[in-house]
Amino acid sequence: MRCFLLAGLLLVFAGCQPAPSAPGAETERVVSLAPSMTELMFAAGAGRHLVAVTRSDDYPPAVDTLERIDSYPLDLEALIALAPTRVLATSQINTPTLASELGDFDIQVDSYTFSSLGDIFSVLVALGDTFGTPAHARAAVENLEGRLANLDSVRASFDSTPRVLVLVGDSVLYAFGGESYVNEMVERAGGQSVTGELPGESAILSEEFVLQEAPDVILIGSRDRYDPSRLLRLHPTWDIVPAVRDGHVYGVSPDYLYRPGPRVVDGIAAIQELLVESGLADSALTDPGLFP
Amino acid sequence: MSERVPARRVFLGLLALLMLTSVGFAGLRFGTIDLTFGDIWDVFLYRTGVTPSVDPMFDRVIWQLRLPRVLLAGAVGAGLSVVGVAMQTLVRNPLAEPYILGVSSGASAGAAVLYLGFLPAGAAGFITLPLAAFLGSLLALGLAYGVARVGPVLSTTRLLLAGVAIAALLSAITSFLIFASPQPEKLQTLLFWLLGSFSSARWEFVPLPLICTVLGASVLTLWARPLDALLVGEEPAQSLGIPVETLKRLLIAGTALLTGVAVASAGVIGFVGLIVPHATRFLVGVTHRRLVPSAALGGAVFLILADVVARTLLAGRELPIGIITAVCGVPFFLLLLRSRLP
Repeated sequence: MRCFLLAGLLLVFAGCQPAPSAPGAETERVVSLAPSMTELMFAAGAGRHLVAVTRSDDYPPAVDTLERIDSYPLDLEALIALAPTRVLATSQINTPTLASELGDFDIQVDSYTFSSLGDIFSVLVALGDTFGTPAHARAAVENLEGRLANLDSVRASFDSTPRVLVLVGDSVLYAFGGESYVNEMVERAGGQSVTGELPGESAILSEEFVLQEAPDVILIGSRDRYDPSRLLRLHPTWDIVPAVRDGHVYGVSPDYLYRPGPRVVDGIAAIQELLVESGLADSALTDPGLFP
Repeated sequence: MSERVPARRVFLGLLALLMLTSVGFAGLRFGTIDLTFGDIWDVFLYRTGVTPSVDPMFDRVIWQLRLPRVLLAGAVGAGLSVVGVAMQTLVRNPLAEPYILGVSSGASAGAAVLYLGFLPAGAAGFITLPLAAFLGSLLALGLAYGVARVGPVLSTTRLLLAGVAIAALLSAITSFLIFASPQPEKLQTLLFWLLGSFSSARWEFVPLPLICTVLGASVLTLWARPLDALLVGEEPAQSLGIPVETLKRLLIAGTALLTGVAVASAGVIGFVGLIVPHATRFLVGVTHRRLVPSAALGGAVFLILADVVARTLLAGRELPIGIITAVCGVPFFLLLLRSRLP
């Protein structure tokens, strides 16, 4: 049971390693077994090749017309029935034996790992090459890089670098470790991740760690607006932590944090906006006082 | 000779208390933030009103995080060990432990039902995770008890088998709930809870487990003679005039309460209730008058130490304590088993 739980937990963190892929063809029938892969397919202009996505998929809206499949645990029969030519997977969500399992049915499995923003962009380009939409994919990457450059220029105007803690949950303190791309998101936004030095992709923090690191801003994966008083209620000793004391506790859409897809740039923009809102970054560019 | 034995026991008792105090201080001293015994002393002086101020971070770390944690770990460790002793005596089986009657599976199922959002909205409002776990453990035990009881007689064999079967059923239900959960993002919290941890220890969670443990250990120590007799067998005990059926019922009710409270406080922590009673038996013998208090002390020391390891092994991070109790406790127990048994 615990193995299943662990695997379930890994669903939260998406990810993967490029496998050799064949040139694209109109006959491709693709099943995405990870929401991040679905988003990347659409961003690469190859969404029309998708025949099914996971039950967790909710973006882009075009996924509403696609078949749904249980990816965890994988509904193998339903997958075979869809007669896909290719399955897109991520190494963390899907089992390592997937390729050999599906190989028996002549289904190619492309599995990817994401540990940096660069990985996301290179997978996007690779998908474009695979499915015959290289120009579309490269344009998408250029667009994303352009937006990142704009965010970089805002960051360059920051006078200080707020120390940021990103939490997956607020009760048990799941956080992203040093090997996660989320640290890079925080840094690109203009902050410094306090968990950036921890080994691995994820960690369960102790309350003392947060007291010791004293983050200026705490971001929590939350679909709704996060109530900062909830965090103080759960962790009463954090009243001296600057982020809690000064009210810089914010919710960030989990989709931005957990899905290594094109929307990480939206995530970086959202984080940067919160840093500016907190007043801690002291941005000369966005300070309305400087631009009357 | 008769005078020397009590002196030796007093010495051993003092030694055990010294150990408990030492690991207690270790629990206050070690953690993510590096503190000295001087810092602990400063916080103690501040909290007793001797000094007017102290570093607010030290105060929070020692007084609000580590001290309740040490106390709760001690109470739960002692409680589980005492329950282990009682269960092993009750069913006269060395494999018996606090969770053998399905209590842990019941608690897990209760927690899963609540936490993964399977309760109606009205009920979910006022039931907390510990309460749900407690209710689940009582349900499991009630079922096992109902199956094992025939008229006025309670069959311990049937109780054991029913407990194991109910544990399997409830584990299956927990697994199903996890798969069917409409709130998959909550799985991580539940997983951590299922493996046991004192990371959420707060002052308000300390009194109930502490009181239950002290009461349970005291009552079992007072019942030392009937328990000793029960160890020989139900019939011999009966022939000595001991109300065996009443004793069995009281034992089951008491152990259920204590285990339920322990599980609700810190999740399912394995091995303590199995290993500590045996290890203590090797050291002080089978007489309950010595065994029960020794097991309580041993359990408290073991779990406080395990908790220190759980929060210091990986810097800045928490490990579920169930992993530590198994990894540290089992090899020690195997060594003891090998060196002490003929």
